[in-house]
Amino acid sequence: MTTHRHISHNPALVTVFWLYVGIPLAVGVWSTLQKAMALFH
Amino acid sequence: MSGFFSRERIVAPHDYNRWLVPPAALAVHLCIGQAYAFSVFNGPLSKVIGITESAPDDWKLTTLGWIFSLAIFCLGLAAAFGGKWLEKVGPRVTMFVAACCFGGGFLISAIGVQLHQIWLLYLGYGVIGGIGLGLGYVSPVSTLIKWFPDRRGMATGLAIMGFGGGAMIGAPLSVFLMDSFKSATSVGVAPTFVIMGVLYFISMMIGAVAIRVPPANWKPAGWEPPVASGSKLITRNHVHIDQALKTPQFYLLWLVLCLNVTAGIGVLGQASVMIQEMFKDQVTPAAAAGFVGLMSLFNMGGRFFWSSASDWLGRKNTYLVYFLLGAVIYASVPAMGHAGNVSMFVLFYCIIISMYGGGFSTIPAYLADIFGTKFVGGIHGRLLTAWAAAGVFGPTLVNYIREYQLAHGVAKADAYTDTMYIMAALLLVGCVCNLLIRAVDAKHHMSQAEVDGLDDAGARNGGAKLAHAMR
Repeated sequence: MTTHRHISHNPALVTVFWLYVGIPLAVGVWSTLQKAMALFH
Repeated sequence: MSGFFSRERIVAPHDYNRWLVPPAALAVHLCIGQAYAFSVFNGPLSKVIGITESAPDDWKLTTLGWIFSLAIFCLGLAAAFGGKWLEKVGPRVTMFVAACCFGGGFLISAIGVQLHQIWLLYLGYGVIGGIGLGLGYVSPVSTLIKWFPDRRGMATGLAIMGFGGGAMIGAPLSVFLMDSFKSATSVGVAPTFVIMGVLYFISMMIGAVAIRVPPANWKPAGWEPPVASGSKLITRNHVHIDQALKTPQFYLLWLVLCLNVTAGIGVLGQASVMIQEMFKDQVTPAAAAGFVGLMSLFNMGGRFFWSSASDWLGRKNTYLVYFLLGAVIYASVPAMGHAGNVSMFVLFYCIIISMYGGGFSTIPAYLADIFGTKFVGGIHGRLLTAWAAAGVFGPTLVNYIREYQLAHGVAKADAYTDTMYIMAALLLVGCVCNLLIRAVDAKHHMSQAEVDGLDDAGARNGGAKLAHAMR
């Protein structure tokens, strides 16, 4: 349980978890943005 | 429900880092948001037999269109009926079932493609996947509201933004996988469905494993609920899910969501055709595709921006902005078309779509303000039937008016003028509904004994037990 308690406070875990969802989302946004650029050409 | 899935296993200690919860919600919403990108499969699915071009026995686009429609219909049903179950069993079980349904729906659909049996796609992605969509959509929302009582709008905006962004991941991933598996004898859809089903199941399970609910009476460090709320609409009481259906506020909010979604969804599906017809010699098909992409970015961004802004503006004022600004913009669009002003047209539409997305993400916080937080997940689920209704009403309205106009000799460039005015009028009706919303009558509130009973049950089920165990 001490480990569980430690994990829930580990800032690295929070960062990793945010990167886990943030990186695919950023890739998707970038890909969409590139397509959207066609509107301005 | 016992063991790993029991509520007691997901009650967090008092000093748990609440910022671990939004990515758990996003892990689910980014997956189920793939539904908005299902149309990328339509082309290849219409050539499963012919491979390079549609054969006579291949599925028609109209046949394939039912897969998405069924999925959205089942989303609404699952959210409406599953919301109450969610309040009983907690978010982990609901997320697990959502992962099984959504991932499993892909696998059944893969078999359907392999055997060329359309009913397996209807059953797989449409019905079972749709149930996964509905359960996945509502499962983390009430948990986030309980973790962020000080920033309810921002919290729900974070999760529901994921639903808007899921298509941006799902579409390129689907195209990449289909290109990888494509061969002289296959369009590559079946193996793509298998890979995506497994990937989405794993990702949603990571969310299910990571989700935690706050212990009873938890509040953020240094934050105290306002003693006298600045707004009469923000209640400190709670309304039971069944009792909420007996209040006029529920139906007014249903109309508020339905009308806001109708105005947005009606033009969202027609955006590409609309911009090309209104600016015939100025906008190419590639530029129109770019316009659709830009709108999806604003749809996603609006979900976070407007919902976060509602924490400052207040929920009622935020919807007033959606309705009044939306009505003014819709009424101005025909003039933009006549003036040939593409830039302003694009800007206006991006604002409209951002408010369409914002409507989805602000509504759970609005419900929590009006009905309290105890049953907000279930009430939210039932309110989402407004989405299903708007999903039918909006596109039908736009398509019918356009066809009627064209049949009566109106030029294509002008065929949307009346539509825009009707959308503006719908938003004004929504504005009136929003203005009519008042605080729920005290007779609908749960008594303190009933609330304490719920808290005691929650603590008995795990809160105190786990907090003790942690120490």
